Amino acid sequence: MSSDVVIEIKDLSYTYRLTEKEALKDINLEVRRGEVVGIVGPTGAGKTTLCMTINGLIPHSITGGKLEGEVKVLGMNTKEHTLPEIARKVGMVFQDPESQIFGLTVLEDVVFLPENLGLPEEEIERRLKWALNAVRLNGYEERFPYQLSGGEKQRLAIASLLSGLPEILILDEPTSELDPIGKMEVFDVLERLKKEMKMTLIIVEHNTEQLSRICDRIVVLDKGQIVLAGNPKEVFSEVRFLQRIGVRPPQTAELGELLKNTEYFNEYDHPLTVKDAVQRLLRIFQKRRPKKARATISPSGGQKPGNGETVIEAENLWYIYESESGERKIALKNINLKIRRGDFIALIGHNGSGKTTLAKNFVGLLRPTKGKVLIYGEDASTMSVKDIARKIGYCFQNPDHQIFSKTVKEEIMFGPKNLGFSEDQIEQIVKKVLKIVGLEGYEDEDPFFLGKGERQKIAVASILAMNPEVLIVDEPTTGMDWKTSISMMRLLKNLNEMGHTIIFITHDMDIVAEYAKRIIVLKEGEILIDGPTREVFTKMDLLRKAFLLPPQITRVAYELDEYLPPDILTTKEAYEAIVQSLGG
Amino acid sequence: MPVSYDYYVKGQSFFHKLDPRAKLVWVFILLILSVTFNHPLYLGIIFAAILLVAILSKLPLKRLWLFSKASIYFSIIAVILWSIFVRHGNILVEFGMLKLTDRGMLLGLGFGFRISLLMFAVVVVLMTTKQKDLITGLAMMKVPYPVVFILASGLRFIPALTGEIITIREAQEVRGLEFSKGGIIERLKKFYALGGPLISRILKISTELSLAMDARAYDPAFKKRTFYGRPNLTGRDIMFIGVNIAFLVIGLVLSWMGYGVIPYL
Repeated sequence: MSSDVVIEIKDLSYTYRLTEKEALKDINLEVRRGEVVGIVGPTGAGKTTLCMTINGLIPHSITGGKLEGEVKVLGMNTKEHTLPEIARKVGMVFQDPESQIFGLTVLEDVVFLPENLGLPEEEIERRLKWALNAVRLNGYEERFPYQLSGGEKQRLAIASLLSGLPEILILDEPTSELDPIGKMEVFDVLERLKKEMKMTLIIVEHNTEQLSRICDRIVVLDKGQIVLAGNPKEVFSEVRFLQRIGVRPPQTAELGELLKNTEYFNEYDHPLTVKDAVQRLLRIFQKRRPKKARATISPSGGQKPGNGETVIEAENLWYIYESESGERKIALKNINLKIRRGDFIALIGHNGSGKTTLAKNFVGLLRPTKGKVLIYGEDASTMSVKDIARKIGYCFQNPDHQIFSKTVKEEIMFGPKNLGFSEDQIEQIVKKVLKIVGLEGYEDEDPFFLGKGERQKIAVASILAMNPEVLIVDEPTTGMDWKTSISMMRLLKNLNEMGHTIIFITHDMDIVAEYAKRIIVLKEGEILIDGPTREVFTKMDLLRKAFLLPPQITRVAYELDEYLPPDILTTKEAYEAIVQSLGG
Repeated sequence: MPVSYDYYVKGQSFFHKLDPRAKLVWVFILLILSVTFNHPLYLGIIFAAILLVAILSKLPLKRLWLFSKASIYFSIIAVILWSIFVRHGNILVEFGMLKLTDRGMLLGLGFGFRISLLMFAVVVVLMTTKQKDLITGLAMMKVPYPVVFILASGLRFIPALTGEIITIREAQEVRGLEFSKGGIIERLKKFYALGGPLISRILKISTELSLAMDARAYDPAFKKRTFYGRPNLTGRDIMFIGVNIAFLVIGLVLSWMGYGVIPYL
């Protein structure tokens, strides 16, 4: 074994306790010192399992499974070394920042690992300073975790492992819960670790655009096996294959794939970054001299914001959180807006911008501190949460917070029963909503054992069952792979076409671009922009102020506004505009 | 949603600056004194002294009350129970079977003060000491680290669990559940809608936590764990402990002489 190889996995298979299917199957992988490896794959592909076999959580912390083959990390066979021994060299950052921050302050959290290692105080002090500096959190020592933004929390989680001076850092979906700028911050830090410290990084991530920025190699997992591996260019150029297994390649690669068979663009590797795509397209445009007039896009039907009756209206709405001990925090400032029947609205904004607070004011879970909410013209302050639930459904982000029944059917019946629907009505409704969400035949399944995507759909079904006209869905796709996200969003689109008014909260701008008719951008509790999707995504500077970033393809079009309409929202639109402009 | 995770209130008072071990000694001495006496007057004086410490430390009293009000409720229950069950002494009021005696009242009041003063003392320490210092203090007093860690995790995650309960409650409210309505059986059924998701959340959070702990080399068997920012006992701390020991001695002597002690029978 060359001393340069830091991770060596040979014929690794793993089966969890009480399961039969192998979570990992015949994995062979070598990682060199200083290499940055991205791991992608659909949910259930074994990405997290693979990470946990590398840092020894499997088999030491998660016990009872069947591990075959061999994992060697820095020469240590993970079966034969203890967790603390491995943890000295290998750090792992998890998805949810909340459940990995132990300290009451930033300082406490960062020193936890070196204290566990029994290092002398002066050494801990040195590492504390160094680790905070590496993630750019210097001066944050005395802050409390809840005072940090999502991006800052994840950077803290990274610092808390850097303080152990690991040689390898594993990150399991570190940015799933973060807003676009938070994602960038984390990747900026990772880039720095790569360049300045030559650290070996293993990153599991759905966001392939960010991955292609820093990875030397991409490994694609599906059903527990490595199905594709290579440098980002090689892997992400296999657009069709990736889409089929449920991984979304960067949009620029998708565009490259669409253009591949045209006469203008027959390169075999695809651009992965905005810069690369812009340069290549620019070359083509300059060579082919497109028609003077800029191409226009015909907005596809149904993309216009709703213009029906006003269903929800906020009038000078303020909301101020006041804790029992008297601290005040202004969460919403003078919100004025009208939501009309037929709208399909994306409510976006940075972590903590007030999106959920606003939604909770709509359904009466929170009551305005000042101003009011009108529901179908009626003052909501006179209505109970239950009254409002008949008109506006609100689906929480995490289905775990609501699912408690033994069968899917009982879970869905819960709401309609509370609202006093008749037995016959309920029977019919259960059938109907299960059909809508695509879970027919699941009536008697125990929701506890279903996957995240299915549980999310059950949650939506259980709200739909109360027959509300308006549906608010909080982060319906967070932490889901692309395939599951798309099927969730198609469901919402379907409901919108059936006449429901939909409001969804999200951080995923690709999804916003593809599905929303109207966007409301919140920033620090105020409405920053409110308008049709196409208009909003061209306001690049304003969006940046709100810590948001339009989809990659929109950014490409924006840079090429001499040739392309700047308000392109999807890869398909970009393709059509290019073909049109080049006179195809 | 801003859920405050901390008890600690920044400050520069004498009590803030004390070594955490000195404060723990203080709580321990208060514990002994509170079982030494059972007369509400004596226990009341100690209770007042704790409040004085809180005021001198410029603690926000609203917050202090928020954290320790539960003890007052317990105290009230104690007063009622003792008053009902202690039947000696002079009868003050009598309704049929129920006799309210002066001794029962005194004992109940004393017991109530005992609960409250301990609770308030602990909360005052929590509010004037960084959690980290407290843990270090406990560990330096040779309390086994796993025990200390469980305490620390409790302090850190109980408020987070409160947040979970609020979210679950809201998620069921928007499905038309009204917790405050219905008879006892119906309400119990409603708690199932709260308890089910809560248990699955706790399981999930604790699994994630234990993985994150393992990934950070947490090893309860490791004896050489270090503590960053160890406090040093200063003259101020020694003086404080000395004064407390003096009070303890005075207290013990007084109770030996029969002051502040009411016979139970």
